[in-house]
Amino acid sequence: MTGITIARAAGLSDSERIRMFRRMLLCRMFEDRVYYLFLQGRMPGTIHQAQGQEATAVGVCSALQPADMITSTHRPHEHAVARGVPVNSLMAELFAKVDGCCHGKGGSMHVGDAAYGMLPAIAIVGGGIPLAAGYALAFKYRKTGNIVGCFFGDGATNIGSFHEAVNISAIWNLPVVFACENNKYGASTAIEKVTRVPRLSERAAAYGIPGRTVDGNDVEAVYAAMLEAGERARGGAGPTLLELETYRFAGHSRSDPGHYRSKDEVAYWKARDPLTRYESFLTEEGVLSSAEIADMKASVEKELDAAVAFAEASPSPRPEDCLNDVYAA
Amino acid sequence: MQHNIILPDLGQTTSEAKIVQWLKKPGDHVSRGDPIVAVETDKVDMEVEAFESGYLRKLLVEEGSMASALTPVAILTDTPGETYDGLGEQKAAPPAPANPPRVGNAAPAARALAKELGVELAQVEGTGPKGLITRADVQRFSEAAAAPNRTLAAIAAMAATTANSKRDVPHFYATRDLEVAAAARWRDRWNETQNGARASFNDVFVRCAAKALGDVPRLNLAYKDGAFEQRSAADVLLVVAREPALLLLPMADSRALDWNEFIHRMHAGAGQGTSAPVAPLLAISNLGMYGVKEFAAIIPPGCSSVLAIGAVREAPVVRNGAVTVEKIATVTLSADHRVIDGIAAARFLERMQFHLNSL
Repeated sequence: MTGITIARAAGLSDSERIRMFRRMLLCRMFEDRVYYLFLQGRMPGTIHQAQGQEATAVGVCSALQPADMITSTHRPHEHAVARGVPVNSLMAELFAKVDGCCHGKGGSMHVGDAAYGMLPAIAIVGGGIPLAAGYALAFKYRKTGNIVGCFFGDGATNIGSFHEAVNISAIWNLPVVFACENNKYGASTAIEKVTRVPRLSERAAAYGIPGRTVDGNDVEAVYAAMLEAGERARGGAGPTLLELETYRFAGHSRSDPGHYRSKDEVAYWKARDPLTRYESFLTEEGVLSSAEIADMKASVEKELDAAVAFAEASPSPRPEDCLNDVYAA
Repeated sequence: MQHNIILPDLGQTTSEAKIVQWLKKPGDHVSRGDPIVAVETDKVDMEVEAFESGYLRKLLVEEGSMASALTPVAILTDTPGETYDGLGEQKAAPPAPANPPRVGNAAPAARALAKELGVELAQVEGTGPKGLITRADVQRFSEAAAAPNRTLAAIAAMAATTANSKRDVPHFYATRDLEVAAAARWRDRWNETQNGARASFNDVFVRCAAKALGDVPRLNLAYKDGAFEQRSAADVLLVVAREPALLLLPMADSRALDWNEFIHRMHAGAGQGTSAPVAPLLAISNLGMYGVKEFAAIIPPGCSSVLAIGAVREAPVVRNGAVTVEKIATVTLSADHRVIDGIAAARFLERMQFHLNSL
């Protein structure tokens, strides 16, 4: 027990809790596996990893319906895993292989698959927010009753596209939830050094929409907040800005050792690791036993072994397919 | 099972990193995620973690040395005693030596030097009385051991500079056949009548190129990071073939020298004896003496162009509808199009022809 409890969300069954925990485990172990593949020189390119942010990814995505949509960022792996994009196709994409979710042409920063409710990620900071507004407009126009969950980081709240997209979503009551993962740093820049308001959720007031700050390392708190904001959006009452306070354990990218953060600060957040927090909660509640959790970890490990084997066996894209999937029909 | 710890590609501008400090030593047990080695790139210091648990068996790169991304830097095995492939490096723990180390047979000065140079005396062949290892033996051994590294370092430097130049500098090429009949006649007469230094075709080409550079200021324009700088001194950079890699010799403006002084300067190795700061923008490379007809060179770092000179040869030339046999040399100017355009390149080659005709 970390000394930090879980704010029990109403109406969650044990099996739903177990499903959420397994998703978080898959997120974390996927990221760790990618990291070790990188250290072995098997994983090409640089990568932006999200270890420590599993509760935001899984909490938001668990409150969505299959036909809803999410948009993501340059740190998209856990969003994709949480949304249910198959790990085989994610791993193959990271290896730049044709069986990847973008046929090997997107790579780490563009994973996603609209068939699973996730637009391929936009790596430009703040770039996904107007797309979320646009997708929400389409949902509203077609009266589908679906919503968009829009992920972005704290740094993006100082980007012009954030202001424009949130404002237009507000005036048109678009069905979108803006889920700001405040992991405290935009690359190496501490958010308080570039932002005057102490809580990013206060920015909602500027657009006349509700804003809430939520413990982003408590998966059930995130889930409950997202469910409420989602229902509001589905009901036509417009967007909500959720500030999900979390922390990334790794550096900004693989070549960033994160020296701008103190050891004490990292230790503080590691003690609030969303995964161990939820694991302790579930064992103490008697939802899962230690043995069941060990089995679950072994089965996730196997799933990832299979994903790596699948990715490595998949062929590279052919030069002649270079222009396919590039232009809209 | 053996796991080779590799230096990850840290995605920086260079693909090399310095091994600053080993955080574990051979024999240590390491767990997945433990930092093993501290490395430094041009942008960042960081620790490389183990991707597998096991026993650290061998460090392949010494502290303070450079390692290339994606190459093995250490060997890990699952169990402490199992055998492993040393990856072509000196095998760890060589089998008990047939001859016991002859450390006793080294002169004290040799022993001191060996310690200083990090030479293992057991590997040094003694040439002194009764096989005594002398200071010279240690010195020779150390140099022989270092030689391949120096060769590789020189080639690595060439690899980096040429690749960077070809990637960053927009090269274009202007080729011209220079008529060298007049220059050949001048050279023969000089070498017959002068008791001083003999002139080679290379001397003639370098001198005429320096003069032509003086005539076309556009070739003496430097470009760096978006800024331009016009130079007036006709400094040139001689690209000299040496093993294992090319040697670059800057040569200060030689236009005011007389021929004797000029040839002496050339033979003394260009840069010798000049104190003025030399910042040549025109490089000159000549493969004519190896029979190469023509070639295009890569602009060395800091230069704006490079002149590649082919062999002086007799070739059929069509003039006024008739074929004659003439002495020509084909030269190619590779120029940086950010500062030099085709007209400037053409003018430079035209001025070279002029100076060759005016010797």
